Amino acid sequence: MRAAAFDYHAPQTIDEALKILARHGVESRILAGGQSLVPAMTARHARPAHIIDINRIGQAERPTISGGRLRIPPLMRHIDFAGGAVDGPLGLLMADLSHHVSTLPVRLRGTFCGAIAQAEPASEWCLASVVLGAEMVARSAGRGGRAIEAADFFETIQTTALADDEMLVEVQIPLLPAYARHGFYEVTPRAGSFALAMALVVYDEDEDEMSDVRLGIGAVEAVPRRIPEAEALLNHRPPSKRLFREVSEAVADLVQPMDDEFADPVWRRALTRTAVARALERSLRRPLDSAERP
Amino acid sequence: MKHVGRALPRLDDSVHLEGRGRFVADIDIPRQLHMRVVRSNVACAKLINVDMSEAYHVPGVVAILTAEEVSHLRPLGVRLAPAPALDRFLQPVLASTMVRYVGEPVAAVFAESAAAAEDAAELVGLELAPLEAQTVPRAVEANPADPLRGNAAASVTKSFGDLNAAFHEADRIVEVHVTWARDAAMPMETRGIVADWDDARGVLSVWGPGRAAHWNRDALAAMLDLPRSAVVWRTPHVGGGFGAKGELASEDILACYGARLLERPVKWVEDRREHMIAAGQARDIRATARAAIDSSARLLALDVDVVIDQGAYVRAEGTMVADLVAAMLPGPYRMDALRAEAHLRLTNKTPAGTFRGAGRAEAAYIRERLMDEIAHRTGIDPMEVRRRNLIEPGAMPFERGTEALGCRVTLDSGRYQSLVDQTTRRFSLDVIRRRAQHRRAQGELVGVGAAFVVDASAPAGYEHVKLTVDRRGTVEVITGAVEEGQGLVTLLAQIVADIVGVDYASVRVTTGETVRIPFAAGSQLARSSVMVGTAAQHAAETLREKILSAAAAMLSIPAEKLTIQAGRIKQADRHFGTILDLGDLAAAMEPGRTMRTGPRGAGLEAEGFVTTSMMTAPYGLVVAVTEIDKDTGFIRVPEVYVGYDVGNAINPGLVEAQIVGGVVQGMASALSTTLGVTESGDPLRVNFADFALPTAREAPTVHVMLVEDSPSPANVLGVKGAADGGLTGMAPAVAAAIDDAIGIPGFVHHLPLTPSDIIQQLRARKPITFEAAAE
Ligand SMILES: Cc1cc2nc3c(=O)[nH]c(=O)nc-3n(C[C@H](O)[C@H](O)[C@H](O)COP(=O)(O)OP(=O)(O)OC[C@H]3O[C@@H](n4cnc5c(N)ncnc54)[C@H](O)[C@@H]3O)c2cc1C
Repeated sequence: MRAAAFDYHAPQTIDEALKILARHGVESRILAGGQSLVPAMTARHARPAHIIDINRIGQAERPTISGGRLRIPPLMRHIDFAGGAVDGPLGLLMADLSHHVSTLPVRLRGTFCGAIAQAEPASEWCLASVVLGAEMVARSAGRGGRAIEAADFFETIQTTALADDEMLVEVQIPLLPAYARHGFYEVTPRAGSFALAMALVVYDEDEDEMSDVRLGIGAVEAVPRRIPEAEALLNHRPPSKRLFREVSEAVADLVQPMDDEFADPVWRRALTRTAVARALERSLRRPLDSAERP
Repeated sequence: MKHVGRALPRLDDSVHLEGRGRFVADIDIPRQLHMRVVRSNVACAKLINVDMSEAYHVPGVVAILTAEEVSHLRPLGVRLAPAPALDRFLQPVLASTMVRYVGEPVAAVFAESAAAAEDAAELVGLELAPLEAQTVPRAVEANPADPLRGNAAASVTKSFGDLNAAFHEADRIVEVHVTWARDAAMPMETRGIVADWDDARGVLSVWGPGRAAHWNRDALAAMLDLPRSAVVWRTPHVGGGFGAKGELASEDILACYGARLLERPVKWVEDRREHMIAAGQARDIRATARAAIDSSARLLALDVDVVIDQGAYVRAEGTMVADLVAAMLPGPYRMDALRAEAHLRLTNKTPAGTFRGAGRAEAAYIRERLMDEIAHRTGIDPMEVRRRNLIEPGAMPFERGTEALGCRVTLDSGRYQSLVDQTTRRFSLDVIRRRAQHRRAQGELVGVGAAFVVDASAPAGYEHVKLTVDRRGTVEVITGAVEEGQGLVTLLAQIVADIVGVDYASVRVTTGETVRIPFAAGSQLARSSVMVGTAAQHAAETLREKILSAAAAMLSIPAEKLTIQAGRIKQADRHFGTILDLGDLAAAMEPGRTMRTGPRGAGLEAEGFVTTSMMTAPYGLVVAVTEIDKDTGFIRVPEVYVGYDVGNAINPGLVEAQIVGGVVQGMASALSTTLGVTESGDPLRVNFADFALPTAREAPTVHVMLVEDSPSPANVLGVKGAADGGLTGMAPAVAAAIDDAIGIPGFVHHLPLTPSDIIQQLRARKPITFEAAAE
């Protein structure tokens, strides 16, 4: 359980990190919170020859808000969202989800951007970024920066659109309007484990109806995705038990559940239905309640 | 101040809470080498060649051992329940021509650093010709891939009475088929050892978490061809054992042999992945049980067949589990006849060892599932069926008619019906059942299930305890048994403190050091408090007499007029005034020119020995409540109620802690933790992400009632072992509670039951078949 030998780099700036990354490409890995990378290295599943520890990079911990977007820098940790990183519904949503990311020790170290780069199917942040229409800002020493839409970013399990010489320098999430609501539910076999199915729904409360509905599922397929059919069913309709049941059945029918040792497709489909139904129910709670701990 | 009978805090709590414990991994010796074991990554294969050329190029590598270099070392012997017929199934120190499970040691690398050892181990090339792995224990025919050995390692039969007559007379015959998957104890600290060979003095010093330090010392001495006095075993802090740790294994032999061969200290610390593929595993049983009952649901006879998947080899535990399952099957119930057969069958999986509740948990699961089935078939309430069959107090001590580990199974004492009544009253179990019924009527899936268990603790054996007092008046208790977190140190201090007349916090307890005490049987099967406690009691009584008579001689006051309080010798009829400090008396008794009193040359010390012929049989009722989430199938166990009798509880707090821990471990075993393999024999779970140990969120609230109704007549303290209480009854109680929740008696016959099984069942609403569940 000791990592294979590697060279260790501790750049002070993003540019410096990018240079090292450009020099070593596939041979190198960025080290952020280390909560996915270090276990993979000690099990010798990952054996990068160069480790680029970005934890000494300055000004990479606090989020900023500009242009109607929350901008998440590379060293913002899971725990930093717990107290509401931004005012309003988006802050509540992120706080809610942060309580579901693993256990406290992992939350204290693991980063938001690291989770996005890691692209686990069951990552709460990956689902949130897809549902909320986030943009991932990637940068390389040679080609400069580019923005990638969340929907195009996740390719398959643990695989993203990032090139070998690119670093994720920021994730931008559009703020939510003041009357937005969200509902999130995940099914986990035990506290701190990766979820077996999860659903996130966000919509605007428009008189009695739901509008601008976005609904996505995670941990069910290789990458999180929105379910347009479900969104169409919900849009411009008042919430009701019947509608929620109809939507959760529809989503369960639409997905192609993964088959792994944690859940067979039949069970996972059942869990998907439950996650969607419960996420929808939770969206009706007072916003403060939805930020309560699991 | 009286100590015994009080829930005093453990003496070593602060050490562990503050992280000051010194475990094997914390021990470093100058010049030490680190050992890394190269393991087979194939479940069954011919071993053609081991290529070490690349590995030797790793800087820091000192030596690599393969089977060739250790061929003169005999395979590890059997410590518990040995039998000569087992010899050909014993595990070699290193595999030579065949590998038989993923994780089997093939070579050992010794290097200057742990990292170098691991790097080199990775480069050792194993040339293997894979054969078809056998992952299901089949009948007697041999594994075609490994025909020389056969599959049937051993069978154990326990019987009494006329079985045929009983089944002939029976009003009804009730049968269950049950299975329980592989699991293992998962102590927080993995295995490890540090060995140091002093060539000048000819002494091998070993630090290891031995539960049987003295047996290990003797086995090492025999194996390395050394006199017993040349091996010194020390037991550092132990981070839990639960049966998975403490028996000598290949790795221990390799470290010791390596230390001697290379004349450098050797350190080996197992990592978690290794622990999950190489340390002894447990359960993995399949049983058919039949009961013959009369018209009022009284048991006439039990006929049980258990197949235990032993994995690839028989280890130090021998046939212990098979022996205990068969012997303990009848449990607390009366019957005229028994036939219980347990078969150890070999497969290409990690060898089985022991896990807390060994044999007894399996027996309880089989028997109590059968009792529930009887209740279902006869339409009688499950608790009533049990009550009708429980042995009455008047029949105690009750000869069970079986033997376990060479010792007659005697139920030493017990008021079983009364325990059921008291537990029912104390926890209002009727209300709990009604509440569950009510919630079911509202559409929830909530159930209650119960199991009555009898454990076997401290079968025949001996123990030896030494006491010494130094010039400061500090009393030292020396035992060969070990503190594994169960609280042995504290309870020995409590026993000795009361008798000698000192504060328990001032008693030092030395455990598991072979140089300090010549013989000991060690800690297993809930025996430490019973056996070591009794020996300590005898030693303390002798010490007290010695103190008083020496003081009497010194002070010219009759011994009857003296007493000891808080380490001071006083006149018994006076409230105030110390006449002599215990330390001063000890000083006066030390040999040498200043010696003023006491027997010549001995100092102030005493010894206590105990040999017992009767085991103790603690017993209890375990009641679990389960809630099932209809949509996800998740099973929660919110509450568990335990009524348990351990005879006299020396420290009720420690007993309760044992029960609570056992309940959580038992629940995990019933619902989540399992170590399966794929068809080709590859382990499915090798880390804590996959092996789902419950967290505090999943742990039930455990309500414990200790009953001290039936002190054991088997020892002067009247105690019975408490180590397995809580665990043994959990599997059947949870199984019954799930049956109750979903309203299908006998639904649970395979553990762990997964949420996916529940969902399938709720969908289909028909019981899944035995064959399907066993896969
Ligand atoms: C026991 C346990 C339970 C967990 N449970 C969950 C859970 O329930 N939900 C969940 O979402 N996660 C879970 N995780 C994973 C955790 O959230 C990780 O923290 C996260 O996935 C990775 O973030 P990190 O900062 O630790 O990244 P690291 O481990 O340092 O890196 C992960 C990967 O991302 C790359 N990387 C990191 N930062 C960047 C960057 N800025 N640009 C480009 N590449 C980068 C690294 O090179 C590496 O390949 C769990 C982890 C553990 C150990």
